[in-house]
Amino acid sequence: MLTASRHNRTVITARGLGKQYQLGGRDNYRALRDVLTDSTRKLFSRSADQHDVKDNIWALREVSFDIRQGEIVGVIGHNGAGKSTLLRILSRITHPTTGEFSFRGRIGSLLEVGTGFHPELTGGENIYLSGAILGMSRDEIRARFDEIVAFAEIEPFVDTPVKRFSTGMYMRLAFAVAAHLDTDILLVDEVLAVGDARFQQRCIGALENAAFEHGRTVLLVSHNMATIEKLCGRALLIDHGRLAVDGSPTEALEAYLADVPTASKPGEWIDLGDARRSGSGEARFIALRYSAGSVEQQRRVQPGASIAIDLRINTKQAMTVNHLAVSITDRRSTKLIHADVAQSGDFIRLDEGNNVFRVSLPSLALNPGRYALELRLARRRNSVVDALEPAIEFDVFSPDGADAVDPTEHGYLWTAATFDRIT
Amino acid sequence: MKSLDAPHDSRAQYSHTAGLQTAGDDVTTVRATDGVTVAVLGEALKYRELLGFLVWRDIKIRYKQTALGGAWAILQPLLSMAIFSVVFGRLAGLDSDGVPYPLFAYAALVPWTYFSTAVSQAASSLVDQERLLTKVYFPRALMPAAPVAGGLLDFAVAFALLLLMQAFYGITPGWGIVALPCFLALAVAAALGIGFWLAALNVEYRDVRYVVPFCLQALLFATPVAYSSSLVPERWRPLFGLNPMAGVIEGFRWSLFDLPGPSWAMIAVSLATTIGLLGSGYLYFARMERTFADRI
Repeated sequence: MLTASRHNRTVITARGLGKQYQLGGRDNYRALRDVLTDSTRKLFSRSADQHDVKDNIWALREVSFDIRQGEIVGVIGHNGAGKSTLLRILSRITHPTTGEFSFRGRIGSLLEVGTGFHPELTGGENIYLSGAILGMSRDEIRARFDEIVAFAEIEPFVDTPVKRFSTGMYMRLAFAVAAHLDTDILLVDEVLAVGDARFQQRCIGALENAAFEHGRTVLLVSHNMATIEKLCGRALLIDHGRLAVDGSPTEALEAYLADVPTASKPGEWIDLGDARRSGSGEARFIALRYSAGSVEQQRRVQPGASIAIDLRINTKQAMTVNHLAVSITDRRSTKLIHADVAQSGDFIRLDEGNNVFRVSLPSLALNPGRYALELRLARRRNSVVDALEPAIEFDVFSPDGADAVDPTEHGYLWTAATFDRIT
Repeated sequence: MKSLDAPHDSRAQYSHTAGLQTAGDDVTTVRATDGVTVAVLGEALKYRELLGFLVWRDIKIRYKQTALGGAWAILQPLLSMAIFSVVFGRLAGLDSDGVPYPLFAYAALVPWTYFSTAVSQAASSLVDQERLLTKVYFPRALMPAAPVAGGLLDFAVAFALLLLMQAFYGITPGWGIVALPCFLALAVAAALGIGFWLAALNVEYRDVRYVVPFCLQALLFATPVAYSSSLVPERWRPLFGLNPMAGVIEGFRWSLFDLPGPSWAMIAVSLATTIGLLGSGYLYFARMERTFADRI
């Protein structure tokens, strides 16, 4: 069953992996009081068991695959589809409800940036601490210490507590530690979404290097389809907890794109009740309406149009949020336009009940094609209240009325170019 | 939302069980049906270097965050000793087995302070480090074990002062001093066992946070810290030993002050209780471990 070649032997096998969660089980710890009231209620209610069954959901069901050494495998799917659950099971943070898996060697997981970092400790101290927590031995860390510091470009700050680091430095250091993790298998969740473009490039390079030069196996969860296509030789598409596609990135991507909602029409309220979302849910986007500025464009958005996006947000409790953001992405989740209220140094006050906000994007310079709109509401950078990525898709039509085309061919950005003969 | 085409039964194309056939390679298998095994203990040993890092982190951070740093190791038992000496030594005039009362109280307060600090920190260890718990895997037992191990540094500092005080009062220990490490080990085991229980319970019931300080305070008075166990009638002493710290402190005083034979029955009961607490605590912890990340 296993071939002898080093680069061809199987390093992970998973069979029938499943994970069942109790709804509301997470984030809702039980107080002794609840246990007492629950047991009292059970005494008087015969339907208690049925109630329990209803509250269980399968985050992952019957997932089986084999992964060979040196492969970089992308894991894609919508929010809440079960990608992260799969990584959490494989990294042994949580135990599967059904099935089993085996792996060869050591597994290292990078599910967040800066696992184990402590703000009071210096950059150097955190390299040791985080490295040890991620699974490196003291000797391994010592041997690669200088390399990590150089990769993160923090030489002058090795003895500065990381609480004084800028966000960029912190992220770079955190990823540098992770990139030098020497485990045979690396599980990576979205951490590539940090830092500037140049640093992201180097992170991707580090992952490629790990796989191609050192024969490490990488499982990468990402929303960024462009990254998956570029980096991975194979992709798993998870949909509603099931493994829907196990094949080439292109194959998985096509299935994923075929699955997103069809383009929404301008000028009418679109219910977001069924949209997939993440975040704490204290406040929720419930409906969205977008319209182009001028009368003739109200039915068909055209390049250069001014767009108004109305957002209806419902909250049970009045609150203040620092980030209300609208992003326009292409269908592979590459962000093209990002507008955040925080950019203007402002914040948003939400009153109890419904709130309607209008985001105006003057002269949207997009070429004809289909785009996605993402919404995000967050208290602080990493404390997301509600995020819909994507919320809807919309089309930009060419003025000559032709059908929407794929902007990857014609470029994303539009400008009112004129062509004149001058000689 | 339309569903994807052909959500095939991914299981069908593979053999039924996961398994990597190996030639002496390092293969780990995780099954949903795995029972709780003590084999986890062997794995925890592989991570002893990480335990060292966690201890080092806690100590480092405390020195950076507090003005007095390591001085607290001595101040805490010393201040308690002063209060106990006035209230119980002077005002209540409690008997201290012929040993000067401050020394008598301090000899008990050193292991007690170690025990109560270790237990309360172990109890909150999982909840306080929720981010670690949900983002990376290592044997969870290291989290409550770190404060239990790290507390030994404070203990050592406070114990050095104890020896100085003994020299000052001119009280030399007898041969029983060689048994002292055993009583310290008993305190460590008791703190670890109770720490396992409370840390795991705290994930499920946050009430633990409020119950622990109260229970530790109550236990302080059920432990012969301020008074001598000779106040307890002979026939009740084995029952008294159900509190593991009663046996620890009885042993500490006996080995330090060269007193006439301790109540071995009491110490034996304390030993048995501690073994029971450690074993049951570890098993409970191991059983709950796999759902910590889902529940916290």
